[in-house]
Amino acid sequence: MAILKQDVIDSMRDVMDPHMNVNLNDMGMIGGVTINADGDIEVGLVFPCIGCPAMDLIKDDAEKAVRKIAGARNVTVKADWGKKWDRTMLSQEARDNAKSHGYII
Amino acid sequence: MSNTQQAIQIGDKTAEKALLERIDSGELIEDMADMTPRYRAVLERTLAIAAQGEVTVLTWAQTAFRTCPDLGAKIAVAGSIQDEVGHAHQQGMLWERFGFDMQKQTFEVDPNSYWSLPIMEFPISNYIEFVVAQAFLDRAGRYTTWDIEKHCSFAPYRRTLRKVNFEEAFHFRHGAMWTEYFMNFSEETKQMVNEAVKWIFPWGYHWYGRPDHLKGHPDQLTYGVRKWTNDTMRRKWLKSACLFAQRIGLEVPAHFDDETQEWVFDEPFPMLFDRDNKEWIREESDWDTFINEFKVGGPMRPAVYERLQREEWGNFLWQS
Repeated sequence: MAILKQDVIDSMRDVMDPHMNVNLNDMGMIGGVTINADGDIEVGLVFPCIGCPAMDLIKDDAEKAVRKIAGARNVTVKADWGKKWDRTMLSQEARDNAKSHGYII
Repeated sequence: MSNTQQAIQIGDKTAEKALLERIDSGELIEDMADMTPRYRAVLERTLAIAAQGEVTVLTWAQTAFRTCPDLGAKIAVAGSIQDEVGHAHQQGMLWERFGFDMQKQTFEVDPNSYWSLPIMEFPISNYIEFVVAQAFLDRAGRYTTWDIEKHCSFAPYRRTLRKVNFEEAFHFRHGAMWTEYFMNFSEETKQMVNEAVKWIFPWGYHWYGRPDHLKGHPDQLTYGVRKWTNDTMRRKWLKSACLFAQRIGLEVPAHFDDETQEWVFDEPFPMLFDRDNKEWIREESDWDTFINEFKVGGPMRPAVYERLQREEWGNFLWQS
């Protein structure tokens, strides 16, 4: 069965930005997702901060999560500097979560 | 013994009893006007240690900066420092509600009066020590702040620690990820991880201080500022640290006892740390001696706090 982009997004439901405690999808950090017929998957992550100290950790977590998808073969997760992150990309759920620990966004 | 019964031992004061009954019933205290002097004092002391302790992570982590192998590591160390200053600031803001001036407490106090764990006063020799310390000691620190977030009877303190705690989780996960990486990178880096574990792991076990039977029933527990005792936190840390070590094939001085179904520390406890040679003296000491040594601190005290107060960091920070 072919892997869908939504499968990739869903796989990262529990991958969190550790400074916000919000998952990558709600953070609006999932950029381009490319899947080929062989099950090779490439994910671009859009980082809010150019010097994110958690960058390696987030990429590693994301890669582990995507690898769990049935049929996934080679998985590459990299920073996608071609897209710009801004706060309008945060979901309402992320805003509510952030508000509960002191951020008003 | 319930906290209310404990209050009778503390003194049969109506206000103390009334407050402890509210805390005992699970009520959270929001208003500082509801505090008794004794409750206020225990929170002030807890916040003083927490705020100053967070600042001293900065002066310790700063010594790791020059050991970073690449730009990513430098960003990670800088990120940790920024987080810890943020944690000091958040708890400092709460401390200021008690009438303290965080600026004065940071920049104008006697540098020798800084509260810290001695391990934060030994400079980092290499980046592997830094990540191993993150993996084990940020994990230890998180149990203390996590306890307060989950259980503290003073609601503003719980809220203050929400963000602090998931950042602390990031620090120990960052340390764990890189410890595993260096375990598998080469024989040389694996050996360096093992060397770091030898002196860092026992600090995690000693982190929580005296065992419960020598500690009595401190006001922190009586007033519900925390719920977990020293032994409880130590047990939780040991289990978590050992499971992590087991997962990555790292040997630590502890084993799982099948009979008690508990992890057991395999070294003398307490033991003293040789500050000149940066290694443990592996024979059992006593707690009074350990605490006296604890107060002496490490070799960077007080010079590192004097530098902090002068805001003098050194040119190497700006060199590649």
